[in-house]
Amino acid sequence: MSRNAWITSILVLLIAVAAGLVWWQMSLRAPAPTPGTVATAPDADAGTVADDLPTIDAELYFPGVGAMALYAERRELPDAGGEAFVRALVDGLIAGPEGGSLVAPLPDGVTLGAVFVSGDTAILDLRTPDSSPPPSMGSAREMLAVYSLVDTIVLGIDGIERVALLWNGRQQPTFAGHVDTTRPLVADRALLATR
Amino acid sequence: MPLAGQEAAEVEDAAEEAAAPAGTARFFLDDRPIASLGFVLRGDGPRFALAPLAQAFGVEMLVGPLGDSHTLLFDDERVIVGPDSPSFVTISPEGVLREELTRLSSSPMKTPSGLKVPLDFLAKAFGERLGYDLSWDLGAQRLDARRRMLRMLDAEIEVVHQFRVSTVEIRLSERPRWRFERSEGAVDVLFLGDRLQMVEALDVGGDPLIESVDVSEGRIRVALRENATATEPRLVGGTPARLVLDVYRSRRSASADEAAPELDARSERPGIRTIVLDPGHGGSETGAIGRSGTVEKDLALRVARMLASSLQRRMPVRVVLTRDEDVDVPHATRVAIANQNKADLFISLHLNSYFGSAPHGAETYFLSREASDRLAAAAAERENASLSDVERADMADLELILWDLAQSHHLAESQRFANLVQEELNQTLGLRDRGVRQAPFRVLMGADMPAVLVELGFLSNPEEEAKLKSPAYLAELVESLVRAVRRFKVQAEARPSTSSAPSPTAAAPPADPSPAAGGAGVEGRP
Repeated sequence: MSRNAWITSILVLLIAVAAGLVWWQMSLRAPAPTPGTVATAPDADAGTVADDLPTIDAELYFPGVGAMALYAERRELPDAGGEAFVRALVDGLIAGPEGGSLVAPLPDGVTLGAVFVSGDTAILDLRTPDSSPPPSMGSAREMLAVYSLVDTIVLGIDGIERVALLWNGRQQPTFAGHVDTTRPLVADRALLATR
Repeated sequence: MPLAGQEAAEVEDAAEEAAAPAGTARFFLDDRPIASLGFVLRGDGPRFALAPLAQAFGVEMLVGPLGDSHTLLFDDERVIVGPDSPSFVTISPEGVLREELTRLSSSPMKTPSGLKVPLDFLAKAFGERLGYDLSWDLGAQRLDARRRMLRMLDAEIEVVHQFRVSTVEIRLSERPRWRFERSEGAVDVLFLGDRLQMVEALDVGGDPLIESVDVSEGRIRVALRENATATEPRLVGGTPARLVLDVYRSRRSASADEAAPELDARSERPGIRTIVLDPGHGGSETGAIGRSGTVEKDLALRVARMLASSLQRRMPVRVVLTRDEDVDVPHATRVAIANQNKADLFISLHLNSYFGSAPHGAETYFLSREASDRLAAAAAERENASLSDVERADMADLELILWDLAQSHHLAESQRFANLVQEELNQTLGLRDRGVRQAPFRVLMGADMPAVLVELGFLSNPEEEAKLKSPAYLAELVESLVRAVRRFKVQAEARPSTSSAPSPTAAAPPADPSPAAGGAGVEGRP
């Protein structure tokens, strides 16, 4: 066998090994249904427990207390997949930051109701205690609250480009008096800052 | 942690599915066997495989990018359901919510063999839209969908005209099955498998846009006066339900008769003659509240009154307030007041607040390009759709979207005025320059003139709140705004032709579309 043939054989072997490793890594993750098709679920029962879930690094964007900007706080969240991951991000925002000088974006008592994802749009239903009217607030606070949610989801999840916000199951003209919520919102990167 | 709970519940679902009675049911459509489908029984009722049912009803189904939410594509709306909660959402093809979330008796289940949904989802999503009654026979393991017999629905109709828009509200005792048709000079709502029983006779009186509303057993015909056009009805609520459609003067006629000459006149004589001031919030909407109790809606109104008085004393302008008392005024109405008064400038006055007490200073906003682009994209989508199927095109909706686009024609002028306001506020008051910003503020959308929203200071900053309570300080604020308006007026009048010419698509404004929106009157100040 010529020298060139040896080199070619070794290269082919290395590529095959690398491809095998990539396939093995990917096969560890449950396959997601292909968007735009009818779901075909695997035959095996779903079945790991939350503790066994792999984790994923996520960034939650919280408003700063002093400066009017959003700051990323890194979290390790269980990679539950599906809408559960959207819920994990929003629940993390509602629970508030772990570090100082940041603040939870939503008023006390607000919870996340339903979550849907259709096409490139996530739909979040925010709930107030006793379905009271959405809180009224100044525009600076409102902008940071809205984009804390939108930027965290859009920048954190591939495939989601827009976020629609509902209050108590209804679409409102504005989030809290200023920001238009009659249509889904895209991320506003201009509000992001670094510490 | 919530996620763990959520995931545990899902795993529990899968385990329960394995343990719970399950099997394969037969699905019959009008007593014809159509398909076999998996089902599972739980304490709160059966759940059925969604995919084969969507196929059987001929409804396309898409799975979202994250794999949980399933979207059913009906002719003119999309129903989105997932395992996350006992509810589903209905949206238009453009992503606008059609009605509130619809509650279900129990959550759908994500199972290894696909999403399984409760019986009431089938009844509400497929049954109500396609006209079937669904029934389940556990013993026979048989799911039946039968075309509904005629129903009698009690109907009441109300026609309200305000701000150049006539709104027809059809109140029905149950959610109807209906179709919408346009014909020359009229629009029809056809009820499919339903018959109407009018509770009271209807008299539209002297409505300027609607000639008559005729009700027969299975049809409501709205006859339109010349040059009027109607939106497609939107369904609000489930049972009882409301079908609401708006009638307004068409774009062609608006430009041909009344609107165009005035708008043309505006473009021929550049200048600032009418100014609409919009005191933010009002009524039940307080806006921000300062630490010592200052309420934004009250202070905004006070500043607006002072500014109106000062402007009219100092220059030859007409000033109109969107509210002159403590009342709720919908955003659409505020903008409609500006458009109907052919305002040359729109100034929305607000007080700010933030999470912390440190931020202070004034900010001036104009509409963000992103928001403007978002509306443009929606309009383009509709316009493209209309090109492919002109007959089916919903031109009325398109005109509404185009009206929303009006502000995009004035962004440069809005920015120019915002810069002047910010300069004056900074110079006069020595405020921290927070700069001119852009945001998707609802009250700026649809304004067919330069429009800004001014945040005069932070009520969340105790020192600034104290200053904002001082009459002397407020007088200085007002003086700054007057100077900004004067500079803008001089600039506008110095230009040979205005760059804030009316939008080429300007139509009669689809003002406040809902009769429930209330009638905050125009508070003119001659």
